[in-house]
Amino acid sequence: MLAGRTRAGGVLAGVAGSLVRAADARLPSLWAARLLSTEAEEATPVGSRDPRRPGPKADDEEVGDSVSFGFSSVDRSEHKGLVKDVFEKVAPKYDAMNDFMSFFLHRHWKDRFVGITLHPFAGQKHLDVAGGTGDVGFRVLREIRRAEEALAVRRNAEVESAGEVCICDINGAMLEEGKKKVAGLDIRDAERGLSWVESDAESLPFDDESFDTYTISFGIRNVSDIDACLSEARRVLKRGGHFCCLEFSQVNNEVLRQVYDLYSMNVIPYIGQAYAGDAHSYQYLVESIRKFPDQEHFKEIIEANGFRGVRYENLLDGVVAIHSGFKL
Amino acid sequence: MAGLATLWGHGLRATGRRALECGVPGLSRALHLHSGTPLLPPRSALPPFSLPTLGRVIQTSSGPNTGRSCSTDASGGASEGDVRQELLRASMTHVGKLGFTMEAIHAAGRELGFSSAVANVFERKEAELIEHFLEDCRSKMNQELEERSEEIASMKIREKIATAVRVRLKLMAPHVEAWPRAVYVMSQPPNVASSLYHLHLLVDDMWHVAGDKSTDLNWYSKRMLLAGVYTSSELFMVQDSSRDFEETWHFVDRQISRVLKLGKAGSDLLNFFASRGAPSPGKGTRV
Repeated sequence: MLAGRTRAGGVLAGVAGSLVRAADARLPSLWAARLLSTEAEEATPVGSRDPRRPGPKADDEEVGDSVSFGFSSVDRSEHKGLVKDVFEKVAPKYDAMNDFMSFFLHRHWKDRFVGITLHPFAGQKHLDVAGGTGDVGFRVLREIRRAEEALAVRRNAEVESAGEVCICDINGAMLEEGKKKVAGLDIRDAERGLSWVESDAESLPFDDESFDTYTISFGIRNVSDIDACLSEARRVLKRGGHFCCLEFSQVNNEVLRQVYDLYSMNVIPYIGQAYAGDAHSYQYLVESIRKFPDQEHFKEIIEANGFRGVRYENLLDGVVAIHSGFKL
Repeated sequence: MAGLATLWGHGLRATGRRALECGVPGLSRALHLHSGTPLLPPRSALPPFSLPTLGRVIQTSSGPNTGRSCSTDASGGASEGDVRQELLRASMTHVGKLGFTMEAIHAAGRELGFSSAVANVFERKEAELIEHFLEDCRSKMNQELEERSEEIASMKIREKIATAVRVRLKLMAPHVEAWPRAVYVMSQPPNVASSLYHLHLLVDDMWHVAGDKSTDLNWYSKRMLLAGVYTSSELFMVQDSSRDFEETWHFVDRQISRVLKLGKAGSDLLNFFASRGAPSPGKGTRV
């Protein structure tokens, strides 16, 4: 156990080191960020560090113009590049890693997210932000096509493939992984229904009110400015549009939380190392989960950005939470 | 079982309230606190029906302010509660053509200038539309029975109940073609508790109109028997092709007669034992 902790500590120190290296742009604020991260590193040994965010974080989120990157904080302008870096590295093995890390559960989470929360309908225009490898986007398109077929049967008419899914990601490497999968899909008119856009979630290249629904799954915690992302989501949605977010959250069950923390902090980086050859990126992913606001707090953030009827649903006692809201 | 307990709990409170209204002096005193505040809230103040979690792994939370909140939006949007009500009202105009389906709600949404996606404000999908219809029918039934109260007061209890059932079933007549699917939706596991609750509310109101004041086990048996009569009549009506549902009204009468026979058999049995003297347990059968 002790050995495990020291090794985990080593990994952390490594992450901090690489951060500082990555952030070596000789800006005063970055030096401050480096100071902050090293202080935190010394003050709390890894084992005793409480990974939970204690309530709404006002103090450690917006120090000057820095945002949290894992457990350390970096300059806002640097954050985007660092996150992009992480996902560029993991892109080729991203889907397989998700299966390994979640014991295939992420497939069920996504199925429920799309089938029950989003409940696609015929002719729907959907935007999947941070859609990367298309996991959620393909599911949405499949459901839309299914609804269109059912509609055609009822009307006794030709099936009309009017629904469209736009998959948007800041990271070109992830989109490339997704495009590779299109050929193997068993969805009618998949090519025609899908479009791929490389864009930042904080400034989307779409007109106002151009989509019926918006999803962001396992992506919003990596966005530098959550408020900007949400207000963009609200802008591109039609009136009555549905915003859905699938994201890791706070585990409510004490026992499950202990097990989950042990697993994610100690096992996942090693799986990442062994399979994808990259422990640091997965260390970041795990840490960013801990830094993300809990269910209630995130719900308040969504409401503050003008969404109505905001509610959330916990899956597996809060390992993952589905938030949803409407533009009314 | 917890769900059923909740259902009866609502009913008991409602009956208690009626007892207060009817002015039972002892009960009235017993149910009032010293300060004079009534122990039992009025029915409108009862908490909305909610499913017990029963240890589900998946929990749902919609927070305290989502239900019927009417706060206005700073950015000029409508409140969720208003939109829900408007959607439900508009959806009912599409039920005739599209049935109790999400498509009806989608159509209503588009009609009101929303995206079809707005239908998702109903977390339990079309079940919430069906519940709206049930509530609507119940209040219309109560209204009509209220208007005919003088006529009803002169009837026998059997007649009163039959009238109430007939009035309620007539309200369903316009949507009888869509009803089988609604029954299917409401008998899905997530909706069973809620549909039982609505059935309970309905038969409770029917007995209220009939002037029932029982506070013993009869309270349960009366409601259960009437629930049986009502649901079987409803299913009969779905398949009834006779003019103006003539067959259904005969069926209602037959069902009520059968139930009364059952009730009479029960009391006959009790009278039989009473006339022979209550048998002491075990007497004469001890080996």
